[in-house]
Amino acid sequence: MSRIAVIGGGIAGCTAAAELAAAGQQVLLIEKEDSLGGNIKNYGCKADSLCTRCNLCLVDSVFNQVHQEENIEVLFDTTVIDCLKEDEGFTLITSSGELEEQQPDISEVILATGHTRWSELETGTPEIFRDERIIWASDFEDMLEGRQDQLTGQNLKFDLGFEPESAVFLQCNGSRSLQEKARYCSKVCCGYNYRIARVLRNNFPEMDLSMFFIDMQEAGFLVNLSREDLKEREIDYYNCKPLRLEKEKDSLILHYEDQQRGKMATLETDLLVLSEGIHPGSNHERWARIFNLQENEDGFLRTIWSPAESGIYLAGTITSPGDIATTMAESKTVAYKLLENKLSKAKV
Amino acid sequence: MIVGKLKDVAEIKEMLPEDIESLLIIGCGTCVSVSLAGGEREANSLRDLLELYYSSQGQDVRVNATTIKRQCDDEFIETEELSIEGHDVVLSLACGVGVQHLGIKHPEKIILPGVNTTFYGRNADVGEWEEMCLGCGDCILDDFAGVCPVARCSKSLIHGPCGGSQDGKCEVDDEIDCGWELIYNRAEDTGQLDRLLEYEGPKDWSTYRDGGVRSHKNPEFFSE
Amino acid sequence: MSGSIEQYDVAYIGQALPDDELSQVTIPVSALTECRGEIGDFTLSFQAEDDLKQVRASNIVINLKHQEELPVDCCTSLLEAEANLAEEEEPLIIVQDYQDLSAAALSKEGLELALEVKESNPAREVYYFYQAMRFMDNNDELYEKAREKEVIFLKHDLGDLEITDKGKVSYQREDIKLELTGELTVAPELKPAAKLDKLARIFNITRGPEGYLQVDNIYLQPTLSGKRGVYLLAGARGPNSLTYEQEEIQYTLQEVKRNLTGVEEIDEEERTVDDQKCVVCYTCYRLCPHGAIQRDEELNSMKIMPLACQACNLCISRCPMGAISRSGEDEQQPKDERQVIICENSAALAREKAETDPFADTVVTEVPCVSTVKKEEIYQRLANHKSDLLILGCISESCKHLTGHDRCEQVVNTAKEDLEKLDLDPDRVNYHRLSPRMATDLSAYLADWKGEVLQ
Repeated sequence: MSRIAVIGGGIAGCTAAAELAAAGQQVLLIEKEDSLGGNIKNYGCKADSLCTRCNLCLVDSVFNQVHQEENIEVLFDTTVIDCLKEDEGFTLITSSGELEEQQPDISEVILATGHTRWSELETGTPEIFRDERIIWASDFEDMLEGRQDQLTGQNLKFDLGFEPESAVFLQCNGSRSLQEKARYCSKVCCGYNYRIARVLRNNFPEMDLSMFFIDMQEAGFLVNLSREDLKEREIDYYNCKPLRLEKEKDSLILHYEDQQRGKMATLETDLLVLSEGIHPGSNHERWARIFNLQENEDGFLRTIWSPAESGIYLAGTITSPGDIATTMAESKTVAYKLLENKLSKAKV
Repeated sequence: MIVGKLKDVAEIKEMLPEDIESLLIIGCGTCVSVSLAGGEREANSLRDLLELYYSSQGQDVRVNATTIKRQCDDEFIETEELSIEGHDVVLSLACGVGVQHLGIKHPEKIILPGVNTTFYGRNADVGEWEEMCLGCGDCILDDFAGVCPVARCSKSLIHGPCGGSQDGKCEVDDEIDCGWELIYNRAEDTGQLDRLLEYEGPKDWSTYRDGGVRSHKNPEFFSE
Repeated sequence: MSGSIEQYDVAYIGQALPDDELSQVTIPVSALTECRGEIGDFTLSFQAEDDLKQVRASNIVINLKHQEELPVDCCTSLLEAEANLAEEEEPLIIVQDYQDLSAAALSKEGLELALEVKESNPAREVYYFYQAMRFMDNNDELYEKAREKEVIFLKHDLGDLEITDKGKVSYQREDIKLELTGELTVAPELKPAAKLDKLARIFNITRGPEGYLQVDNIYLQPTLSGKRGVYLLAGARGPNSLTYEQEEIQYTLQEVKRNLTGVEEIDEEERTVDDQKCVVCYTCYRLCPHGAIQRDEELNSMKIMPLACQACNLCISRCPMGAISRSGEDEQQPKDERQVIICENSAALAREKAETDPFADTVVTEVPCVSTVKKEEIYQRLANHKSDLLILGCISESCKHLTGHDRCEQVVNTAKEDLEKLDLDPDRVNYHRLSPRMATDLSAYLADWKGEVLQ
């Protein structure tokens, strides 16, 4: 029996694989690392006293489903290096360590290899940001995974070597800037940092919290990030990007333009948290070549041929930045679409 | 419907005799079930709670629970006759009617009330009830646009509101709607404002408590 | 009985979606009177020309426009504005965010309008007032293009911009001071569609805090209602549904099509209402987070619809008559020193993520939702065992059964109060919330808790 190959075992690939398997399809899931989960494998919960709707609660049951589902075979530590078009479907050439193998009888391929975070790029950290008081937003993930505030009632432990009394979140870092090779808005970082700020507010009612936005985005379809909301939580809102950073012994000083007053102003902080834009995955050139895809001008992939004809589908952040919720919904849609196409093909 | 409220468990504990050896809790499966006060769920939960209490006191008390359809009718309680006789004390989770009916049927048994019978009311929301009727025995809703001045005005005034009506609320408690505001508004909405002037009263209270203990017969069931 | 009623794949309440493959019927909100049945076979009653008609539908999509409220009079709504391409002298003024920020879909509308006017009439001045440019689709390209075409973008914060009743716009920020009049187009504030209260009643689904039909809960993303087979779009769904309109339509149509290939029951247990015990008090109907209960007219008893049921067991634990039972209920209670009841959607997942099993040497009862726990079960467990009882539910607003965790907390709190009134230790029963990604917290807490219990 032919199989559907899903490349990438993050939340996009796993959601699609689980849907396909539940519909009775045989699935071959190919993951380059030794476990499922991709980018969000070790993310921590971002609830304050309420759920902040990051959607992490939903992902583990999807990963478990992939593990338990008999119709899914998972190849770990494996990458796809080529794709051969056959009369019917494809044969994938995979590589695992030294071993190269053929994976025949593939009827369709869903490519779900995700994105790279700005912080993971070698060019990602400008010299000015090298300081222990300047961290990436994702550096909070370990702290959040290890948080003990909900049950044990302890405050979030900063894994920084110092206890900041104030924090500034700097949005649009790694996005919307040609120098940073991303002219687009990554859309998810506003919501991401907003959630972290809420956790901090909940743990440290006295902490000074501020966020600098170029343009504050919506934070997913169940969250309406608004100025009112920030005000209520006593998170100061700055509608600009700071122009200069000064590193003093006791604090970091951000120089920004107070546009309402038309003057330069400064804000001191103990901790600067950088948002990180979502950048295209590292293998996009290869995927474009072997699966006949097109890279758009930002480096994300899109199909040239209709997936119904080509049998090649894209799911998740391989096509554009997206949060967990959107990724899950879209990946389900991709799986349903594939099933529908398969069914109408079978009828013909 | 008759609305009830489960008594405070401390009060129930106090009313039970100290040297009790066996207790039967009887839930009632009609009105107080619907008002979530004395159905099977409450009877069983109370049984388990009291068992836990007595065992923590080192007291050996047999606590059982049963729930019957209606405690105010003979036929339903007859099935529990042996069970009732087999326990020292019965705690009835019915309304006051059921508790007394059990007493009439079991003259030598101690029958205790586990529920406060609160009022005749409507279900306002899940778990929430509002008083609508006092059972005065002489319904005058037709004269008051369908809103009862006797039950829904805190002072049962039938000739208009008192001076304590403020912004639609009652001076007794500002959580309570002024019954007369409701009467007026509904009369206006239904075009019956004139009728409010027609009621000349005084109301005949002899059908209520003024006439003493009440009972009545349906003539269809009786011959002269 | 329903054999003669026409059957459709999908019934639209409000606006239908374009799709060739699905058989569909459209019913206006005002005509709809009743909905019975469940996914795969809903029966909808509605008023049509003095007659009460019925149709059957496998799925229901509620697709209604938002109500719009303009912050000032004498302006056009940005959602309805047609580009005026005539040789116009007076400037076009677009206000994207007046009081609060608008959804990204309105940025798109505004940018498209600005560009269309500028492209046909480059000489005309176009002012664009905004607080935050919001991105979706190709908004970034539109924004860039609009800047190239010399649309005048003016960013503002609260207080920088005033629009008078007569449509005069004043803007003051830094050294810029403007007084403008012209063709004024303002983004409307979007409100829930009309008559959603009626629909909530007919479909027996709970409305969210702002009045939309979708409750704030991650399990309902993107267009699910609490009730299986009923989907919510646009002004029925939520405040920013316009931004995700295309995705939401795609998702919904695909879900509908998938449902048509067959829907299965959520688990293998059978949940039945004893029609002899049921007093038709409607408590289960009102509490069910999934609208899965209706009255069986023949039996005059409530019944659980098996495909709609999502297996939280809340109805069972709250039925005042104990009239609802499930086939798997008679499991033996653990005879153990530590008693823990955990939700399969949160603590059970956290347990798997922990490095070492935090529940080692503890017998754990895993439930589909903590709302399964009955009040009597709490007392029984405390009576039968010396140890304390710990119940672990989900974080607020992330319960798969919407209200399940809150309902359990209500039961636990009343149980604690009653224990206290009898001078029993209320701290023997503990209720806590945690998420699947709080494994460390769980392990640390349990280590403490076990320590205390063993003392």
